[in-house]
Amino acid sequence: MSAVELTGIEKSFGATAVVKRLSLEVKEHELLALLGPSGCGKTTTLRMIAGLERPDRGRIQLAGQLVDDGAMFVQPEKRGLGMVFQSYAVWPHKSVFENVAYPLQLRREPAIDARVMEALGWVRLAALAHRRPHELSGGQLQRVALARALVGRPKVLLLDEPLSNLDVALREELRGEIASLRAKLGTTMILVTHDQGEALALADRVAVMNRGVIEQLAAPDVVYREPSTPFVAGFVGGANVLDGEVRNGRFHVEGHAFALPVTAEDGPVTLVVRAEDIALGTTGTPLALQARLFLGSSTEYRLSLGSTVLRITGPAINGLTPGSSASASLRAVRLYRKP
Amino acid sequence: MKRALPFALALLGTVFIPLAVLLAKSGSPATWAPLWLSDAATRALTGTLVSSLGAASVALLLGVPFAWLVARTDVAGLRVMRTVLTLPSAIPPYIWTMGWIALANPKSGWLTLLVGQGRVDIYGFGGMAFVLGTSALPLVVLSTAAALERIDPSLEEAARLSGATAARTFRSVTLPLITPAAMSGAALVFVFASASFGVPYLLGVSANPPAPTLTTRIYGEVLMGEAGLSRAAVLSVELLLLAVLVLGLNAWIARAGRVRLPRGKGLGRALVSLGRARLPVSLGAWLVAGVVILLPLGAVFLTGLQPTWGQWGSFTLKHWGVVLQPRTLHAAGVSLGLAGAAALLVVAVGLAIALTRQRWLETLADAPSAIPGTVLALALLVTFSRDVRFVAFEQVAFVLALGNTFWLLLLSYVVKHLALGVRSASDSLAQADPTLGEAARLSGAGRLRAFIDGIFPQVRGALAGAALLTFLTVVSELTMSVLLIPTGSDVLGTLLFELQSYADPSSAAVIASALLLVVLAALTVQMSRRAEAR
Repeated sequence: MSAVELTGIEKSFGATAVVKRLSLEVKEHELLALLGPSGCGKTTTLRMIAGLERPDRGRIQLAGQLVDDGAMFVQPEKRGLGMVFQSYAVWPHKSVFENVAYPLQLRREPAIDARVMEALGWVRLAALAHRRPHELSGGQLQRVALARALVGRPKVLLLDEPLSNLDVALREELRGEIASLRAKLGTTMILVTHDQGEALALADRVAVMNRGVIEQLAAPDVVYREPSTPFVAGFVGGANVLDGEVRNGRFHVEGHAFALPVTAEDGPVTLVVRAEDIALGTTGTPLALQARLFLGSSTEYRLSLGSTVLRITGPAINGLTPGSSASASLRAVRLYRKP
Repeated sequence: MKRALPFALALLGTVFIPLAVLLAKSGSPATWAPLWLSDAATRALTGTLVSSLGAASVALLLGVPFAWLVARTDVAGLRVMRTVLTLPSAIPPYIWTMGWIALANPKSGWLTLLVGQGRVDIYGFGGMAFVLGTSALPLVVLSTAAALERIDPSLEEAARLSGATAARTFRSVTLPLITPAAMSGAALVFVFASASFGVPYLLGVSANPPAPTLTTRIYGEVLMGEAGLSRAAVLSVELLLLAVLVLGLNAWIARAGRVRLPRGKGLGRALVSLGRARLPVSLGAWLVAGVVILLPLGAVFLTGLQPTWGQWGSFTLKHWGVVLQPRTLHAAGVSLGLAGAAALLVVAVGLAIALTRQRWLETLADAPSAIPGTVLALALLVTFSRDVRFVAFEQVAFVLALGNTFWLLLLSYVVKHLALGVRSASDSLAQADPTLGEAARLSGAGRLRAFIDGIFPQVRGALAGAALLTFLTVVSELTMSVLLIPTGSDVLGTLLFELQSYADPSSAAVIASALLLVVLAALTVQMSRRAEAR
């Protein structure tokens, strides 16, 4: 039995279709990431699972129980979920302890004190139990929110961009904390994020969303290595995505022609090539170097390609400065036939 | 600092020294006790407390639900309702009172006749509290609605996900978060009500039994001349202390109970769909808003169209002749002139004060707005009723003869509303992008030119808004005008007041209708300009 099951979900705000015929299954104990750019419908999808938005069409089931099919609707407080928001949503008029105790108080559960302190222990905040929210840092607030969402042992934990408001160091720390909590509690989690690194690092499976549809749903390494669409390749790998045409085994784009490392039939294609899969040297297609960016472990070169730019990363090459010409050859590419 | 000094001295001379003079008039510590504890003084103080607490309660009870409806729900006619709810702040309270007298006087009110004589009576403390509370409704509605809109929706969503029902979420999360804003709005209503003069005069003096308040008592004492002046001064000190006390308490509570509302980063305001309850809730809300706000305004218009005051049914335009009578035209001319001058001065002086960037000066300029108009006017009256002579170098003498002139009236309008100019100038300057001025400097503009080209365009809108608000308030001002109007002259406020309370309520209703039309036209123009700007 799956923890969450969405079938044929559609949702529009006014005239804009935000989610289009989306179906998705989240397995028990799984961490599924909904990854995509802002406006792709990932947050709306999560809010429909929470019951904070209602789909225009489709069914939502939680642990086999129908919670929304248009006619019947289970209120968010009756769904047994936990949720962490991007803006923390820690109640400013309650102490840390009172925030975490709230879900238990509503259910009139016994031994509230002990369970609250246990949950605060999970996120290493037991010492701050009686602080007020305005005395806490962003990272601490988000850990309070995490404890509050988990204290009632929800069937599914929904995480809506939980790390986006934090600076880089805190983000990595809290990312590790989510992973270890998951190992400890085994809670099913759905993580909404626009950060591919976060999705790839935490998730068992990643659903890459674009314009209201899931373009690819697979394990992180598969999404990275074998993107099923040019969008996924561009969004997840940060690859170069070029629209052009294959003629006589060569790829033509913006007035330049590249030799292909694979055989391909003639016709219009979208070619995806990662920045590290292009070689710069003496053989290949000559292009003008626009800019050179030192990235630490490697160097990024930007070469003019008509109206766009070709990005290449590799070792530093002496004498290659902006204005000079360099020859690029493609070592590995993925081709997508145009429909 | 150097630039701030002249402003500080001017405020000292026009506000704080007059207050000291007034305090001196109120007698010495030896004579205070009998005056403070006299029967009349106690009754006036009690009256002010009762009517002001009542007004704050009325505004709170009506204002918080309305704030919730317009800030959070899909109530029918949402945008129109927002406008209607802010209407009272643009219309002088005594015009509402005129409407309510026509509707609910115990003999011939339209509502009285509808429900039967003896059931309603707008006169007395109850009516006072009701009219003051409803005409100050925007103070509670706006501050509460702003708090509701500032709350991050995810705070409430987190409660739902924690297992709280919608009602429980409202009680345990929303209500605690908006309480400080609602209470602070109610405190402002209290201060507004305690400083009000027209409403308690029209509803209290002819009530049976009479319902005196501090402001109406002060007016009565001033009318008695020199003999009443020290008693009036004592009551003024009481009124001033009351305002300071409540505002201080409010500031203290706001600081102690401060709940920082984190900036919402969610999906914007969370709209509660009323669902099946939408129709009945909307009807109920519109019924209440209609009765409380639109009905009294309608009554004012209709009163001006009836052949005889209090006789409903037939219509005539014969009273409208009053609009063209010389006395009305004169009063209108004076009011428009004074209001225009006051609006310009408030904005210009406010901008100059804000540009000194001295916080203490801004606070000093803010203070007069908290002084009840009656107290400020009386202080100016006792200080400047005789000519003030300055002698410089024992040779040159200046004589400042302000008593019984329009200059004193203008001065009172400007200092009373100066806070409006200072605040809008200082807020908009704080938001203005200084680099636009700096870019002008580097392009070769001098300091003044850089200000005019780079900074002023950014604050112009806010200043125009402040000027319009000052104009609308001053053009119909009554509280200070009744005390400071030169003998034998009128402004619109005093003319209306005299016609309504002594001579000719039908003509009063006509002039009030004309005034309402001007106010509504000005608001419409402003709103359409704002809509264009968007």
